[in-house]
Amino acid sequence: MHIDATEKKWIYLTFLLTFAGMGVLAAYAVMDNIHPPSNVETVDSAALHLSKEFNEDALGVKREADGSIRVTMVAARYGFFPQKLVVPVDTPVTIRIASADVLHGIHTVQSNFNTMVVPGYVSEVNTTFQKTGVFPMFCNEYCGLGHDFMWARLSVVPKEKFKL
Amino acid sequence: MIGNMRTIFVVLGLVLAGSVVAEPSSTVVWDSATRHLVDSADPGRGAEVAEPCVACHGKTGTEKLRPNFPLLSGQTATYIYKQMMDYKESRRGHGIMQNFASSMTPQEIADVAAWFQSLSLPPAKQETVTEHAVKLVGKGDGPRLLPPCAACHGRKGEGAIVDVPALAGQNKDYFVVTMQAYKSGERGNDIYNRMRLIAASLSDEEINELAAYYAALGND
Repeated sequence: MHIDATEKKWIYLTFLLTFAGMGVLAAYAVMDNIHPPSNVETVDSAALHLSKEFNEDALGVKREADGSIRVTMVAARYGFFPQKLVVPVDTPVTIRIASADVLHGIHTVQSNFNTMVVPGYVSEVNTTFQKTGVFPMFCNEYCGLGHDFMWARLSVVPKEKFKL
Repeated sequence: MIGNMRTIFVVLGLVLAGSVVAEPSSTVVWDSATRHLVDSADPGRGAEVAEPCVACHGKTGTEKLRPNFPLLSGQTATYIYKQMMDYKESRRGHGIMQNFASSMTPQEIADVAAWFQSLSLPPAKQETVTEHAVKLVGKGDGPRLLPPCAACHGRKGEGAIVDVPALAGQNKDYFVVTMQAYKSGERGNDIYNRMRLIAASLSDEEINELAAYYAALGND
């Protein structure tokens, strides 16, 4: 089969760019500790507000017996609940989040807290926030007309200033 | 003896207080069975059941009714269904409405909701609409974590399929009363505090401006 020399160049270039792109993604994944979720756990999204873990009064930040922090959150069109979180810096944090309706994502600026929130599943992220400050959290999976406005706020405070 | 009894009552009281579990703001679950019940409801049957409702809630949106009562013509069926079930389950308080709701079956509630939804939204009213209200509705306010009203309630205030009310042409007074009830926490049947969070971030002036904005929208 004859392939024109110019066409061949473009085919090579396409492959080269594809592999280069994959290389960049892999490098970022390693550098920023990004990895696929290891937790597979189902939940009834329609009745989330009646569940033991994700009912309205169970949401928020709690300290575990080992000193680590557990955050329980819900994503629902168009917001994250609770809207504002305060966690201590340099402390292991386990974040568990579920969707009450459709597919959402949550990303917190300047951290590796970035996960899809798939209806019917609990997303769990274990991380440690290393910088103090106030960071925006937003939805990064298109979820409807209000997607652009799905905002929340994370405050990472010095350990001695963290109170529950 | 009296001292011992008192100790027993105090211990019993503490045990009971510890066992109290907070009530959910609503017990309505939008699973496929509930969606099917509302989607397949019969507006014709609903019109008959809804006869007593019309005296307070109208059916054209033009009747001279008490301004702090909601107009229900054109309202989304899922929203009416959820509110009535919340009255029935005492998640939303109002003596008269709770009495009506408790005497109705879920099927009757779904039929009434379907009938109201089949009507036209109330017509637009003459109101002064401020630029600030237009901004809040269309763009929200990021620093206050306020999403735009239109994200959920639609660009024309028409509401959305599941449990989001239409606001176009609504009575101004009712709008204000409702938002103030969310703001004070008197009304709390919004799952995950959605409306309570928004209302708490709005000033009284902004609530009044939004009430005028939606009253002026109407069914056009």
